[in-house]
Amino acid sequence: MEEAKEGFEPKIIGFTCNWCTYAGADLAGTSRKKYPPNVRIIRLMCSGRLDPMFVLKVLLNGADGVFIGGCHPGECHYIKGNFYARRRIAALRTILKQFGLDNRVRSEWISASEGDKFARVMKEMAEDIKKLGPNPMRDKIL
Amino acid sequence: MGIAIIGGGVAGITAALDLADSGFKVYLIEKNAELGGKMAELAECKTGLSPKIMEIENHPNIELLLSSELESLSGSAGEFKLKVSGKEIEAESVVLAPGYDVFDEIPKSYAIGHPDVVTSLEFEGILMNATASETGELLRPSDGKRVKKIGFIQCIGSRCQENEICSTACCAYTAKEAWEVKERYPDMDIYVFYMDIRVFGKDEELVAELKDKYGVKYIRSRVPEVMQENGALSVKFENLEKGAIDKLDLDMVVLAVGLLPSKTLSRLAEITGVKTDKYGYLETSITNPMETSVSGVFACGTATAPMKVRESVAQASGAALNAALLSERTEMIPGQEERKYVEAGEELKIGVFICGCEGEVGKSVDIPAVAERVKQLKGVVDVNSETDTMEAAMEAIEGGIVDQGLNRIVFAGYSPRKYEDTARDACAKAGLNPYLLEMVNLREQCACVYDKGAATEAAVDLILMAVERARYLEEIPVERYPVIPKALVIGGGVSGMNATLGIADAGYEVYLVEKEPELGGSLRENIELQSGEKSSDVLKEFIDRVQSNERINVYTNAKEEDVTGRAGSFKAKIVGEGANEDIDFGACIIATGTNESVPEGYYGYGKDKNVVTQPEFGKILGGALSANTVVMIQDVGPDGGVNPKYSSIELMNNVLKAKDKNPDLNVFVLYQDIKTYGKWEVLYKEAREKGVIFLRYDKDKPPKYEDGIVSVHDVILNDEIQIKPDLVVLSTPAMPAEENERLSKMFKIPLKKGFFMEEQERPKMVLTPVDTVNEGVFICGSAVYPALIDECLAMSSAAASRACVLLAKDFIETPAVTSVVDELICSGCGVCVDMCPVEAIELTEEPVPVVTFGVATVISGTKRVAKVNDGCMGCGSCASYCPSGAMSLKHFRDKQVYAQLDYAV
Amino acid sequence: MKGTELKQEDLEGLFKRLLEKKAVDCLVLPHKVGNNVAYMLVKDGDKIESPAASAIFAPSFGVNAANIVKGWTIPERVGIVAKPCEIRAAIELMKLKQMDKDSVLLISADCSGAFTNQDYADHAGEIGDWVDSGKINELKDKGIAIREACAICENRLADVGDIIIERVDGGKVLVAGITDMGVEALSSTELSLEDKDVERQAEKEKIAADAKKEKEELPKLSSVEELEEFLRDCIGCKNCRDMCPVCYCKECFFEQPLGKPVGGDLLNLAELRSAIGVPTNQLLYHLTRIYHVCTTCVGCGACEDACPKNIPLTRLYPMIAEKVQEIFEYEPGKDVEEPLPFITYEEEELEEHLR
Repeated sequence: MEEAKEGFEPKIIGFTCNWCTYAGADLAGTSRKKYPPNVRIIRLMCSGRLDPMFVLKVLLNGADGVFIGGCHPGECHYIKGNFYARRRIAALRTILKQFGLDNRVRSEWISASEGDKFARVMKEMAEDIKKLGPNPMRDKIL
Repeated sequence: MGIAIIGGGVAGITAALDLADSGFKVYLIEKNAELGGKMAELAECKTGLSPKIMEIENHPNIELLLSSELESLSGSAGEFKLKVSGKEIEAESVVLAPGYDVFDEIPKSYAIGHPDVVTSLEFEGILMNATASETGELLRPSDGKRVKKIGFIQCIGSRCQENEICSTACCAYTAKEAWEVKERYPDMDIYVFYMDIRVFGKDEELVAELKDKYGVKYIRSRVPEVMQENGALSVKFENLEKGAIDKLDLDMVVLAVGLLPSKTLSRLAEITGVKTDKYGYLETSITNPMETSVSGVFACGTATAPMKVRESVAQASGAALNAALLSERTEMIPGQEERKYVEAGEELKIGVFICGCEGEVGKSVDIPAVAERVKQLKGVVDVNSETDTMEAAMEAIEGGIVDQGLNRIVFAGYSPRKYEDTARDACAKAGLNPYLLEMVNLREQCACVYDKGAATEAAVDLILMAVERARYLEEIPVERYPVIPKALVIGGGVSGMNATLGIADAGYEVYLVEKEPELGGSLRENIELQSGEKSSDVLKEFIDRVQSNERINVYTNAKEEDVTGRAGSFKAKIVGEGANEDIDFGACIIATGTNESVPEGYYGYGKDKNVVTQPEFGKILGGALSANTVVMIQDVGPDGGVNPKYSSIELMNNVLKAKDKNPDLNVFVLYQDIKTYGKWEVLYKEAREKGVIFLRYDKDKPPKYEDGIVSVHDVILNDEIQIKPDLVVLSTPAMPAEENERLSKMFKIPLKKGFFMEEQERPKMVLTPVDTVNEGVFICGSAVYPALIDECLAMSSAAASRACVLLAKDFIETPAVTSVVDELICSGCGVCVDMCPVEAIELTEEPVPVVTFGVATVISGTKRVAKVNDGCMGCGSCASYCPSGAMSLKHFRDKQVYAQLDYAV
Repeated sequence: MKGTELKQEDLEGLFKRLLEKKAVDCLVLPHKVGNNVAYMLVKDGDKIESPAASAIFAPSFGVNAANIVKGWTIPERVGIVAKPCEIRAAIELMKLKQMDKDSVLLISADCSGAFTNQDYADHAGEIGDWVDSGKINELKDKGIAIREACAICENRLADVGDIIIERVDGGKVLVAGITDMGVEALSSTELSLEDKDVERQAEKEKIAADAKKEKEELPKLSSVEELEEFLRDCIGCKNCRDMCPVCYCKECFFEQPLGKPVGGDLLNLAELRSAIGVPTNQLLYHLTRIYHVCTTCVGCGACEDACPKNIPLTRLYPMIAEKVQEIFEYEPGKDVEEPLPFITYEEEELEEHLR
């Protein structure tokens, strides 16, 4: 496996559902589960609010990774928002795959009680993206 | 006066909030220094509980007495006098919710003391720490080696000599732990040693999934000891496949330890004069599940019997209602005062408030440096980084709005999940529209998880993003509408009547709608209840009370149609025999009950008169019993229903009655799992003692009944057994009420297998088991999941209590974060209509003239435009699809998210 | 399906009768304009030229016929005679309510693969009214190639819509209704219909195999830098969008302030990001458009034809859309009753595509 690029601190944008992953991240905080300081969380009410365009835009802005956190399938606060989100994300990643950007986007189902899972995923993502290196769009004038 | 609640665990907290939210004065008495009880010991459960704890701490109607104990109780219902750690309190009623303790005399034979043998509770903590550790590996506490094999042993300290009853909750929590392990470590070998798997509904599905999909090995064997040789652990168990005793080496052993009454309970019973049963629990009856032997003193939760959180919470709400009926409302309901907002104005005046959160943030974030950076931002007129507590921060925000005319507030500190309502309220108080507030989670998602330096950098990023977003925030009109102080109850069975009476007794008018010609539901079948009472007697009392109550309007042979509106203000039509009435109401309770299934064709039922169902056998037992040999078969009958919670209990009751009538009767019970949960376990024990023979069959090899002979492959003997019975008795699944399908569509509440259990299975619903996704609509009784009468009554009281909390309000605010359509841009494709989970979007079609070059109208066309109605819950799925952005979600508009994205990188 | 065999020259009579018998109120139909082929909207059957077949089967592609009728909200019955890809686009538009499925009669005709309409006009004599694979290769050697979108198209045989027109040996065509509406329309023209079941499986498979081979030979984009290079010449005219049959927004996001910032908004952005490329959102526009059409793109190649800078957009839009359609097992334009992938779901699915 490729070694992590030295001194590179990835910037990861996390889109999280208010009812599950955002609360999971809160739990990671209250239980002091540390993870690498690379993620900046944006709160949405449901993963169903994630317009894939948000991801495209932030990747073009130069984000090194995008994380999307929703409720486990079947546990959506709004009944089926995450089912639709899953379809959109799958489509989006399929598109990104053609340009080698899919590995920068990861989505996970993390419930309000899975603070440790949130911390683990953040850690894994930071590592994975360090190995990938910076987003080629970083610092481009777009 | 007021209501005193003893115990600040999940049950006490629930009861306190229900009461305080409907305007009662509450004294919440907790012996420990903190609220939360046993649930708060589990990190993940605490997350669900902590917002409620916070609410209690800030509730004007609740007087919290921590580190306090009840010393004496005198007086009677309506005028109790309590002495609590020296303090005198007067209360009209008392709720006891002291909770449970875990079984603590685990036999030495389980290698207690070995570091790799832990209780379920301890294992929960080990698992959490493992997954968050550097390597993420689950390591053996003894030597730090990676764990590959875990054995879970069920029923430690339950269903045994020291504690003969079943602890009810352990089967489900073990399944949950096994699932968590498998999710994180798919290669882990997991063995669960059990006697019966006593789970229902979703837990049943989970166990099936664990066995089939996750490869968890469920082994039916009571493991008597955990052996250790040179520190290595192993267990011996009966391998039924081989018919031999097997030994299995394990890296870790997890003991599912049972529940006992709280250690404080006997003393509490002594002080209050409340009777306890022979197991040491507070004595209640199945027809009055929350009433104790002392009038005006109610009991709830695990102080009455071992039970899961969901059942405890239902009882707690129910007890709250009972207590409320004896008390007078004396307090204001918070959040009911009218607010006026000033226009925010054109020019941006952003105020940024950075709160230290009791020193937490300052530990890793260099607050002055952050403040210095934020000050340079355009439009930021004030940065306040002086406050360290929520109270001080709120004061500063209010001051900033009033004195400096700030019109956008960025509040950096606590998580918005905890304090957004409070902070919005502060803005509103100062006259600023509450949606002009943006919060930054500096504590949980920054200071607590990042080291110094990195945390400061992250804090700057997060605040910059928030300020940028704040520029684009819009005032969202906050509108209110009056609550209609009336309720609709659907279903006139015992659950529906109990809920109806609860609400009517609390002073509200109720419409009770029953589709049958008379009230009573399934209790109309005259049966003997488990307590020995005749169902007809119980029913008569309910019906008399319903019919003599002038606040109750009963409609039989009727149904409700065309429900519209939302919590606090619904409209519907009642149609049926002699009725065609438009009604309005503020809350609705669904209590449609369940139907028995007819196992037509199963084991010759319907043709062979010697094949009957359990309820039919119950009736036979009312007369003479001529049979000498009876075979009972469990889990028989048509698909599409569920295994009711009372199935095994009903069977044991009938078995024992039959044995009473005819002690020489031969009874064979063919089963897969005997689910006599809780105290009902003693019926099972008694049946075995009386010589009833239990034969377990595999679900793939069901028993056969041909030419008068029942043959079954017994799993334990691993042999075919043939019996010639005089009577075959079938335990059948319970079927959902036919109208559930219609109600599900009308109220947009999902069904699973025809029942409303799905609602309870959402994670957030564990603490609000009778609430639904449709606010203002509640569910209870066997419509949720077929249950015994005690549980139905607890749930229906809970539903009534929740409804009363809503009805007690004068006004409700309309949801502000909802979707809106830009009609000029909408193409009318209708995708959002199909996608909306609550059918809140309609595609309107209106004829439009098609004009040629602006002169002549030649033909008429159709213009389709999406319109959002009142039902919108604000998920934003529609906005995410809409390619043109014609649909947007207020407060989460594209431009508001984009603002953050532009600053994020 | 119910149909009958006709001589090719009987087709104009059929179309006339569709109009006369009021099976449709008007027809969108290709006709010859000099050397070229274009669409006309016919109300009067007498205006249908003879031989109609030569225009219908002519291997020329100008605009996608579905784009012509898109957004019509009139109850008048419109018939569209077009190539299968155009009919598939129309079916997607019906799902998106941009066309009324009860009032539009879709008639698809076999296609052999088409040349751009300018190539066709330039070489009409050599190309003729129909090409087979032999002819296509022969012309290719002379430097006259069919459109890339056509070369990689696996669905050239008419099998969608309400009525299909198949070429049959001996200068004949098979005309058949494959929906109730199609059969009804044909019946009204007093044709005697019989049950037909013509499976052209072998032929279809051959076309698909050849198309797949062509597809593999196309240069692939594999990184975002390559995409940037690929789009280097883009001037942001958005013609690809305007000519796309399945781009259906009344007002495109990229015409709105957020998608197309101007003036102060643009300056603010430049200040925020130190410098920004102008016109803005070039890459975002194309990536977003790929996403917006990823389930509905029928691969007609109209985007590529529309590009004034000759960017080979077939290598972008249809190629990527196909990958997305694969994961949803969705074929756009096949069945008007099949739900769009974004409004349906399975409780367990797609997990392998999420991380």
